Amino acid sequence: MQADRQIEIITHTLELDENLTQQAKGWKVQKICGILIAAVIVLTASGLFGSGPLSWRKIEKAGVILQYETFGRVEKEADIRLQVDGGKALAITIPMRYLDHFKVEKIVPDAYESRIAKGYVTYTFRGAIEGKNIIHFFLYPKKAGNIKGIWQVNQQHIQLTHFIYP
Amino acid sequence: MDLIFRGVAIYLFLLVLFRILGKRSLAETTTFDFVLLLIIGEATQQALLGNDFSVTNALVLIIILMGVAMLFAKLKSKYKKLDRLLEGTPLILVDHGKPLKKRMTQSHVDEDDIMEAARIHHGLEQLKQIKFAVLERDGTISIIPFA
Repeated sequence: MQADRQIEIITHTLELDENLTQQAKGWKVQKICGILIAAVIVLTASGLFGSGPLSWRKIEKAGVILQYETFGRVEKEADIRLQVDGGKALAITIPMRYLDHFKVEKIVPDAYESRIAKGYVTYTFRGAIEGKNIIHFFLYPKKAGNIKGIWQVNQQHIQLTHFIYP
Repeated sequence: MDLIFRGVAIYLFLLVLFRILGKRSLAETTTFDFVLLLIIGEATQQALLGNDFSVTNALVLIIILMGVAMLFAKLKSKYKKLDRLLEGTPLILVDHGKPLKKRMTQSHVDEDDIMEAARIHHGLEQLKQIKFAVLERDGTISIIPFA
Protein backbone atom coordinates (compact mmCIF):
# COMPACT_ATOMS: atom_id res chain seq x y z
CA MET A 1 0.00 0.00 0.00
CA GLN A 2 1.35 3.40 -1.06
CA ALA A 3 0.38 5.26 2.14
CA ASP A 4 1.70 2.38 4.22
CA ARG A 5 5.16 2.72 2.59
CA GLN A 6 5.30 6.44 3.31
CA ILE A 7 4.89 6.02 7.06
CA GLU A 8 8.10 5.84 9.06
CA ILE A 9 8.75 2.27 10.18
CA ILE A 10 10.41 2.06 13.58
CA THR A 11 11.34 -0.65 16.01
CA HIS A 12 10.44 -0.06 19.62
CA THR A 13 10.24 -1.77 22.97
CA LEU A 14 6.73 -0.60 23.85
CA GLU A 15 4.02 -3.17 24.40
CA LEU A 16 1.42 -1.62 22.16
CA ASP A 17 -0.70 -2.87 19.32
CA GLU A 18 0.44 -0.48 16.60
CA ASN A 19 -1.20 -1.68 13.41
CA LEU A 20 0.26 0.49 10.64
CA THR A 21 -1.65 -1.19 7.83
CA GLN A 22 -4.92 -0.41 9.54
CA GLN A 23 -3.78 3.14 10.35
CA ALA A 24 -3.04 3.71 6.65
CA LYS A 25 -6.41 2.27 5.66
CA GLY A 26 -8.11 4.49 8.23
CA TRP A 27 -6.45 7.64 6.89
CA LYS A 28 -7.48 6.69 3.37
CA VAL A 29 -11.09 6.17 4.47
CA GLN A 30 -10.98 9.52 6.31
CA LYS A 31 -9.93 11.27 3.10
CA ILE A 32 -12.65 9.59 1.05
CA CYS A 33 -15.24 10.44 3.70
CA GLY A 34 -14.02 14.05 3.71
CA ILE A 35 -14.81 14.20 -0.02
CA LEU A 36 -18.18 12.55 0.61
CA ILE A 37 -19.02 15.11 3.32
CA ALA A 38 -18.17 17.94 0.89
CA ALA A 39 -20.34 16.26 -1.77
CA VAL A 40 -23.27 15.97 0.65
CA ILE A 41 -22.96 19.70 1.48
CA VAL A 42 -22.97 20.61 -2.24
CA LEU A 43 -25.93 18.31 -2.96
CA THR A 44 -27.82 19.73 0.02
CA ALA A 45 -27.23 23.26 -1.27
CA SER A 46 -28.49 22.23 -4.68
CA GLY A 47 -31.68 20.81 -3.18
CA LEU A 48 -31.28 17.04 -3.30
CA PHE A 49 -32.66 16.86 0.22
CA GLY A 50 -35.35 19.49 -0.40
CA SER A 51 -35.58 23.30 -0.56
CA GLY A 52 -33.31 23.95 -3.54
CA PRO A 53 -33.21 24.29 -7.32
CA LEU A 54 -32.93 20.51 -7.86
CA SER A 55 -36.00 19.93 -5.76
CA TRP A 56 -38.47 22.43 -7.21
CA ARG A 57 -40.52 21.24 -10.17
CA LYS A 58 -42.82 23.36 -12.31
CA ILE A 59 -45.44 21.84 -14.60
CA GLU A 60 -47.38 24.01 -17.04
CA LYS A 61 -50.45 22.73 -18.85
CA ALA A 62 -53.13 24.80 -20.63
CA GLY A 63 -53.55 27.64 -18.16
CA VAL A 64 -52.49 25.59 -15.12
CA ILE A 65 -49.13 25.99 -13.45
CA LEU A 66 -48.30 23.56 -10.67
CA GLN A 67 -45.17 23.97 -8.54
CA TYR A 68 -44.04 21.48 -5.94
CA GLU A 69 -40.99 19.99 -4.32
CA THR A 70 -39.82 16.59 -5.56
CA PHE A 71 -37.69 15.91 -2.49
CA GLY A 72 -39.26 16.22 0.92
CA ARG A 73 -38.79 15.00 4.43
CA VAL A 74 -41.12 13.27 6.86
CA GLU A 75 -43.13 15.74 8.94
CA LYS A 76 -41.69 18.73 7.07
CA GLU A 77 -44.27 20.96 5.44
CA ALA A 78 -44.57 20.65 1.67
CA ASP A 79 -46.19 23.49 -0.27
CA ILE A 80 -47.90 22.56 -3.53
CA ARG A 81 -48.74 25.74 -5.41
CA LEU A 82 -51.31 25.89 -8.15
CA GLN A 83 -51.81 28.86 -10.43
CA VAL A 84 -54.89 28.67 -12.60
CA ASP A 85 -56.32 31.13 -15.11
CA GLY A 86 -59.48 32.69 -13.68
CA GLY A 87 -62.95 33.00 -15.13
CA LYS A 88 -64.40 29.64 -14.26
CA ALA A 89 -64.99 27.46 -11.25
CA LEU A 90 -62.10 25.31 -10.31
CA ALA A 91 -62.16 21.61 -9.41
CA ILE A 92 -59.11 19.73 -8.22
CA THR A 93 -59.35 15.96 -7.96
CA ILE A 94 -56.70 14.08 -5.99
CA PRO A 95 -56.46 10.28 -5.52
CA MET A 96 -57.07 9.13 -1.95
CA ARG A 97 -54.09 6.77 -2.23
CA TYR A 98 -51.88 9.80 -2.85
CA LEU A 99 -53.40 11.86 -0.04
CA ASP A 100 -53.06 8.92 2.33
CA HIS A 101 -49.30 9.59 2.44
CA PHE A 102 -49.87 13.13 3.71
CA LYS A 103 -51.53 14.98 6.52
CA VAL A 104 -53.42 17.86 4.87
CA GLU A 105 -52.57 20.79 7.12
CA LYS A 106 -54.21 23.60 5.24
CA ILE A 107 -55.61 24.59 1.85
CA VAL A 108 -55.41 28.32 1.08
CA PRO A 109 -57.97 29.60 0.18
CA ASP A 110 -60.42 27.15 1.72
CA ALA A 111 -62.27 24.99 -0.77
CA TYR A 112 -65.99 25.72 -1.18
CA GLU A 113 -66.75 22.04 -1.22
CA SER A 114 -64.93 18.74 -0.85
CA ARG A 115 -66.34 15.45 -2.06
CA ILE A 116 -65.17 11.86 -1.87
CA ALA A 117 -66.11 9.47 -4.65
CA LYS A 118 -64.56 6.32 -6.10
CA GLY A 119 -61.27 6.74 -4.31
CA TYR A 120 -60.82 10.39 -5.20
CA VAL A 121 -61.24 13.63 -3.29
CA THR A 122 -62.49 16.60 -5.26
CA TYR A 123 -61.98 20.12 -3.95
CA THR A 124 -64.13 22.76 -5.60
CA PHE A 125 -63.36 26.47 -5.53
CA ARG A 126 -66.33 28.62 -6.42
CA GLY A 127 -66.46 32.00 -8.11
CA ALA A 128 -62.93 32.14 -9.39
CA ILE A 129 -62.25 35.70 -10.44
CA GLU A 130 -60.57 37.02 -13.55
CA GLY A 131 -56.78 36.93 -13.74
CA LYS A 132 -54.62 34.39 -11.99
CA ASN A 133 -55.89 32.34 -9.07
CA ILE A 134 -53.35 30.89 -6.70
CA ILE A 135 -54.08 27.97 -4.42
CA HIS A 136 -51.67 26.48 -1.88
CA PHE A 137 -51.88 22.96 -0.49
CA PHE A 138 -49.82 22.66 2.69
CA LEU A 139 -49.14 18.98 3.29
CA TYR A 140 -47.02 17.06 5.79
CA PRO A 141 -45.58 13.76 4.50
CA LYS A 142 -46.30 10.97 6.97
CA LYS A 143 -43.92 8.27 5.72
CA ALA A 144 -40.62 8.04 3.88
CA GLY A 145 -40.37 6.69 0.33
CA ASN A 146 -41.65 7.31 -3.17
CA ILE A 147 -45.05 8.91 -3.64
CA LYS A 148 -46.78 9.24 -6.99
CA GLY A 149 -50.17 10.59 -7.90
CA ILE A 150 -52.06 12.22 -10.74
CA TRP A 151 -53.95 15.38 -9.92
CA GLN A 152 -56.77 16.48 -12.12
CA VAL A 153 -57.07 20.23 -12.37
CA ASN A 154 -59.97 21.36 -14.59
CA GLN A 155 -59.64 18.36 -16.93
CA GLN A 156 -55.84 18.63 -17.00
CA HIS A 157 -53.98 15.59 -15.66
CA ILE A 158 -50.75 16.40 -13.86
CA GLN A 159 -48.47 13.75 -12.44
CA LEU A 160 -46.67 14.51 -9.19
CA THR A 161 -43.77 12.43 -7.94
CA HIS A 162 -42.12 12.91 -4.58
CA PHE A 163 -39.28 11.27 -2.76
CA ILE A 164 -39.62 11.65 0.98
CA TYR A 165 -36.53 11.25 3.14
CA PRO A 166 -36.89 9.84 6.66
CA MET B 1 -40.38 -0.04 16.02
CA ASP B 2 -39.87 3.44 14.59
CA LEU B 3 -38.15 4.50 17.81
CA ILE B 4 -35.70 1.58 17.62
CA PHE B 5 -34.89 2.45 14.01
CA ARG B 6 -34.31 6.10 14.90
CA GLY B 7 -32.16 5.29 17.93
CA VAL B 8 -29.98 2.72 16.17
CA ALA B 9 -29.63 4.82 13.00
CA ILE B 10 -28.55 7.96 14.88
CA TYR B 11 -26.19 5.94 17.10
CA LEU B 12 -24.48 4.31 14.11
CA PHE B 13 -24.34 7.59 12.17
CA LEU B 14 -22.65 9.44 15.04
CA LEU B 15 -20.32 6.49 15.66
CA VAL B 16 -19.13 6.52 12.03
CA LEU B 17 -18.98 10.33 11.84
CA PHE B 18 -16.82 10.76 14.93
CA ARG B 19 -14.60 7.88 13.81
CA ILE B 20 -14.13 9.65 10.46
CA LEU B 21 -13.33 12.97 12.11
CA GLY B 22 -10.29 11.37 13.70
CA LYS B 23 -9.04 10.67 17.19
CA ARG B 24 -7.93 14.17 17.94
CA SER B 25 -11.32 15.78 17.23
CA LEU B 26 -12.77 15.00 20.66
CA ALA B 27 -9.59 14.82 22.70
CA GLU B 28 -8.81 18.48 22.20
CA THR B 29 -12.23 20.01 22.76
CA THR B 30 -12.11 23.79 22.62
CA THR B 31 -14.87 26.08 23.88
CA PHE B 32 -16.27 26.35 20.37
CA ASP B 33 -16.13 22.56 19.91
CA PHE B 34 -18.16 22.27 23.10
CA VAL B 35 -20.77 24.68 21.70
CA LEU B 36 -20.76 22.70 18.43
CA LEU B 37 -21.39 19.48 20.36
CA LEU B 38 -24.35 21.10 22.10
CA ILE B 39 -25.76 22.14 18.71
CA ILE B 40 -25.29 18.60 17.36
CA GLY B 41 -27.11 17.29 20.45
CA GLU B 42 -29.96 19.72 19.90
CA ALA B 43 -30.23 18.80 16.19
CA THR B 44 -30.18 15.10 17.04
CA GLN B 45 -32.85 15.40 19.71
CA GLN B 46 -35.66 16.20 17.28
CA ALA B 47 -34.69 13.34 14.97
CA LEU B 48 -34.60 10.93 17.89
CA LEU B 49 -37.82 11.91 19.63
CA GLY B 50 -39.92 13.07 16.68
CA ASN B 51 -43.09 14.75 17.89
CA ASP B 52 -43.47 12.50 20.91
CA PHE B 53 -42.08 14.31 23.94
CA SER B 54 -43.55 11.91 26.49
CA VAL B 55 -41.53 10.53 29.39
CA THR B 56 -42.15 6.98 28.13
CA ASN B 57 -40.65 7.82 24.74
CA ALA B 58 -37.58 9.38 26.35
CA LEU B 59 -37.09 6.42 28.73
CA VAL B 60 -37.47 3.86 25.96
CA LEU B 61 -35.05 5.79 23.76
CA ILE B 62 -32.43 5.96 26.54
CA ILE B 63 -32.80 2.19 27.05
CA ILE B 64 -32.35 1.61 23.29
CA LEU B 65 -29.22 3.78 23.14
CA MET B 66 -27.74 2.13 26.23
CA GLY B 67 -28.63 -1.29 24.79
CA VAL B 68 -26.82 -0.55 21.52
CA ALA B 69 -23.81 0.76 23.48
CA MET B 70 -23.77 -2.41 25.61
CA LEU B 71 -24.06 -4.59 22.52
CA PHE B 72 -21.11 -2.85 20.88
CA ALA B 73 -19.07 -3.13 24.08
CA LYS B 74 -19.71 -6.90 24.13
CA LEU B 75 -18.93 -7.29 20.44
CA LYS B 76 -15.74 -5.24 20.77
CA SER B 77 -14.49 -7.37 23.66
CA LYS B 78 -15.31 -10.53 21.70
CA TYR B 79 -14.00 -9.49 18.29
CA LYS B 80 -10.60 -7.79 18.35
CA LYS B 81 -10.91 -6.73 14.70
CA LEU B 82 -14.14 -4.84 15.37
CA ASP B 83 -12.54 -3.20 18.40
CA ARG B 84 -9.61 -2.01 16.25
CA LEU B 85 -11.97 -0.83 13.53
CA LEU B 86 -14.15 1.21 15.88
CA GLU B 87 -11.57 2.45 18.34
CA GLY B 88 -8.46 2.53 16.16
CA THR B 89 -4.98 1.58 17.32
CA PRO B 90 -2.28 3.63 19.11
CA LEU B 91 0.39 5.30 17.01
CA ILE B 92 3.93 6.33 17.97
CA LEU B 93 4.60 9.94 17.00
CA VAL B 94 8.02 10.59 18.56
CA ASP B 95 10.81 8.02 18.63
CA HIS B 96 13.81 8.84 20.85
CA GLY B 97 13.35 12.59 20.53
CA LYS B 98 12.79 12.43 16.77
CA PRO B 99 9.35 13.52 15.53
CA LEU B 100 7.85 11.14 12.97
CA LYS B 101 6.55 13.83 10.62
CA LYS B 102 4.53 11.72 8.21
CA ARG B 103 2.66 10.01 11.04
CA MET B 104 2.01 13.37 12.68
CA THR B 105 0.71 14.94 9.46
CA GLN B 106 -1.65 12.05 8.80
CA SER B 107 -2.93 12.17 12.40
CA HIS B 108 -3.31 15.98 12.39
CA VAL B 109 -0.96 16.34 15.33
CA ASP B 110 1.89 18.87 15.41
CA GLU B 111 4.92 19.32 17.63
CA ASP B 112 3.11 21.92 19.72
CA ASP B 113 0.47 19.33 20.69
CA ILE B 114 3.19 16.88 21.74
CA MET B 115 5.14 19.50 23.71
CA GLU B 116 1.92 20.59 25.42
CA ALA B 117 1.31 17.02 26.61
CA ALA B 118 4.98 16.72 27.63
CA ARG B 119 4.83 19.93 29.70
CA ILE B 120 1.48 19.13 31.35
CA HIS B 121 2.21 15.55 32.35
CA HIS B 122 5.99 15.50 32.85
CA GLY B 123 7.19 19.10 33.00
CA LEU B 124 9.50 18.47 30.04
CA GLU B 125 11.06 21.40 28.23
CA GLN B 126 12.38 19.97 24.97
CA LEU B 127 11.43 17.38 22.38
CA LYS B 128 14.75 15.58 22.79
CA GLN B 129 13.74 14.71 26.40
CA ILE B 130 10.91 12.55 25.02
CA LYS B 131 11.66 8.89 24.45
CA PHE B 132 8.27 8.04 22.99
CA ALA B 133 5.11 10.05 22.35
CA VAL B 134 2.08 7.92 21.55
CA LEU B 135 -1.25 9.00 20.11
CA GLU B 136 -3.59 6.80 22.11
CA ARG B 137 -6.89 5.30 20.94
CA ASP B 138 -8.93 7.97 22.72
CA GLY B 139 -6.99 10.77 20.99
CA THR B 140 -4.84 11.77 23.95
CA ILE B 141 -1.04 11.95 23.66
CA SER B 142 0.92 9.97 26.22
CA ILE B 143 4.56 10.81 26.85
CA ILE B 144 7.32 8.45 27.91
CA PRO B 145 10.39 10.52 28.93
CA PHE B 146 13.95 9.30 28.97
CA ALA B 147 14.70 7.79 32.35
